[in-house]
Amino acid sequence: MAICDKPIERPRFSCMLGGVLATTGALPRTVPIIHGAQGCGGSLAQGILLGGYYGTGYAGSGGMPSTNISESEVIFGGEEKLREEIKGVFEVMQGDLFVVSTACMTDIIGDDAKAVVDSLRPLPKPVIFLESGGFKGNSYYGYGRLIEELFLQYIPISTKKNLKAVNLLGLVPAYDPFFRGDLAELKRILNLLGIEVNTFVTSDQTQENLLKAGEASLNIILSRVYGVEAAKTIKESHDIDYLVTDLPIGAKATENFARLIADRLEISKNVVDPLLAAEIKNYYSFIDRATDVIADTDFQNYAVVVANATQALPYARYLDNEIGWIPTHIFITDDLDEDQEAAIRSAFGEIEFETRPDLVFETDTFKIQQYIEQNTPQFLADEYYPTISPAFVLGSTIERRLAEVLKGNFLSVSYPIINRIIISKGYAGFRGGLNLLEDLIGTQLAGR
Amino acid sequence: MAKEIKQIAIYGKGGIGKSTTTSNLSAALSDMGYKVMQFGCDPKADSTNTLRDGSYIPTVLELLRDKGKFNAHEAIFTGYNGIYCVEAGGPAPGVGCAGRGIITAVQLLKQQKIFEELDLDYVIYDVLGDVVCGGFAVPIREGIAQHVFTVSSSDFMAIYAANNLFKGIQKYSNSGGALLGGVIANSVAPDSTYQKAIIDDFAARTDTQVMQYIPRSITVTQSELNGKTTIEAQPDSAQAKVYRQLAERVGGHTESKTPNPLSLQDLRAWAAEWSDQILAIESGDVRGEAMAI
Ligand SMILES: Nc1ncnc2c1ncn2[C@@H]1O[C@H](COP(=O)(O)OP(=O)(O)OP(=O)(O)O)[C@@H](O)[C@H]1O
Ligand code: SF4
Ligand SMILES: [Mg+2]
Repeated sequence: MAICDKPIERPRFSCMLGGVLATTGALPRTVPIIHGAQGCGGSLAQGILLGGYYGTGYAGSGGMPSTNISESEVIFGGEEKLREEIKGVFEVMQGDLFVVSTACMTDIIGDDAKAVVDSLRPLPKPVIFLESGGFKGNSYYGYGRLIEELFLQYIPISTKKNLKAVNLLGLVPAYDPFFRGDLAELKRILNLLGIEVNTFVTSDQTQENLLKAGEASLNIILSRVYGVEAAKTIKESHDIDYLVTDLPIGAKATENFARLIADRLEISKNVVDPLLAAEIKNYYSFIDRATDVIADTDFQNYAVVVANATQALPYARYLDNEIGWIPTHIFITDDLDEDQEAAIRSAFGEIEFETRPDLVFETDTFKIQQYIEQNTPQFLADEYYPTISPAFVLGSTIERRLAEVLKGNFLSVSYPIINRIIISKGYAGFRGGLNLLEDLIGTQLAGR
Repeated sequence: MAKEIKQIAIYGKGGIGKSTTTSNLSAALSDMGYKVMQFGCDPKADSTNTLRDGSYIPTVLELLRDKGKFNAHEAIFTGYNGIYCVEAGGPAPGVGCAGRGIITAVQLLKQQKIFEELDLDYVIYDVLGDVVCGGFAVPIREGIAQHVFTVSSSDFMAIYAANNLFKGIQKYSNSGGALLGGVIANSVAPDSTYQKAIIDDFAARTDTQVMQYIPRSITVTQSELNGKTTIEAQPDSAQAKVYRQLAERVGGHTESKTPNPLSLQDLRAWAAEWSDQILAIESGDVRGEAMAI
């Protein structure tokens, strides 16, 4: 395959509406109502599938109702169409919560979705709305805004806090492809410590979890950038403190995470220590048996991580801190503003690496490859050079090509993932750390 | 060979007299023997009223919305002296997108090749107010009008709008858009010492010309109250003569140019200069240039 010299950018996220719809589709018995052109729902349903074939579910993806506005609504306004659509949806769809989300066109022409929804109240079921025209931001931003509006419009304010209850936020359905497995594992660990957890978007959740989210005493944001603004708003509106941290992968990171939360919730060390000790013992008993093949296989790798702002650092940290690989490059592929970049840089600074990787913010797939080629002696006409070899690329399915260039192995961990289906697997926590190790070794053994 | 249809767009600040001037221009051109269509590009849909005894006609966009399918013939009505009247129409105030409406309406008529079918000599677009968004720039974009005239009084806000329009024309001038024919000065008081001078000065600075000075006249008001143009209601009046003269100039006009709009800063400085002069004139304290030195 020749290297394409005209880069065609391959998107690693969709628009704000895309994030809103993926998230709405993951909420318990929640029905999205798109107020936009038919292409929005159609293409974004496809976009959701690129998260490891994250399917339709209750009323997501291909099952999303939409007003499908056309030229006539663009000119004369589409509020009437939205009104009819909402009435229609209530006739044919059952749900516990409905989310009206506008798209670019309806935002541009200024349709007042709020006024339409309000004029129809009282409605048989709760309906919230948000302006989610794609031009406002990407899918990760859409997730944060939806969480914010869920609190502002739906989740009751509670002055009585449950000191042992938290909301686990920051992972975006489909766009963080392992969100279900990751959240389930972190919830399991927090539950062990006696903490009640609302995730909103895993399959165990019910409306009950949403409705009592206001009683939580802490919002845990598993991303340095996404969901942070929402957490600030919720602090104001619902007086829930928040803690911004990284997604923990593997025993060390997860132990730190668990202790951080336990400290914050003032859970006694006497409770925490034995529980974590058991988890850690269990973790290493599995690692123990894997060491045979690790020792035989010359298993240590140089690694390149290509992922979004939420996942990239945690994966790199795992590779270095937990399994002793050498991550050489971390590419963060979302379009971040200055503050967000600064947040990532500062989080990066806090991680101890044996050899510090290059942290690069690059949205363009071709430039990622170019960056490595132009900055690594191996690709320059140098006679004696250190090589990135053996190499292992952790990225999206798009990075398969990069792995070929580096003559290395490849595991898909970030959006878009189309070379495997993701069902319950996660890489976070203790179990996730083992899953990841299993996949990293498994990939290298697959050719045998 | 098919004859070339002269397509003209009239722009200007809201309420400045575009529809009045356009309708009188259409009427006068029609009297001269030309086949004319007046195309109102304004959701108010009142451009052609005085050509049709004050009556409103169904608009292109109404027909499109109500019937789903659009037949251009249903949107074309004849008015004074056989002038074809069309109104683009648009959404009610505060909803939808009027700009998109104008794009759609103009495209629909173009697609159906109705101008050629009717063997028109002139299509005159009467376009709402400022060029606020892309939709209102459609008549000056490639392949629609060739000539733009702007109606302006000597008021600063009218000139500001004209200058904005010039910016729009300049923007599209390299890509085959319409060029500027000139300024039609409206509501000029015949006895004012400075109104004409202000418009002349603005035209000179922006590299354009004044096509006609139209006085503010009660004849226009009287005619409008009868639902008619001055040309129809009072063909022998002095005002009708002014409109006829405008029509002759527009008829003879062939070469439009790219204007040279003033920057916002220059425009403000220019306006400030004039306001000083007017103050001086009105207080009777006319200082000569020599005195200022
Ligand atoms: N030369 C004139 N003498 C007297 N009255 C005039 C003259 N020109 C315009 N008018 C009056 O000014 C009013 C506004 O004019 P007109 O409707 O033509 O403006 P317009 O620019 O088309 O406005 P809009 O932007 O609202 O479409 C009308 O009542 C019209 O009769
Ligand atoms: S970017 Fe806008 S038009 Fe495109 S899918 Fe998103 S909301 Fe729809
Ligand atoms: Mg008008």
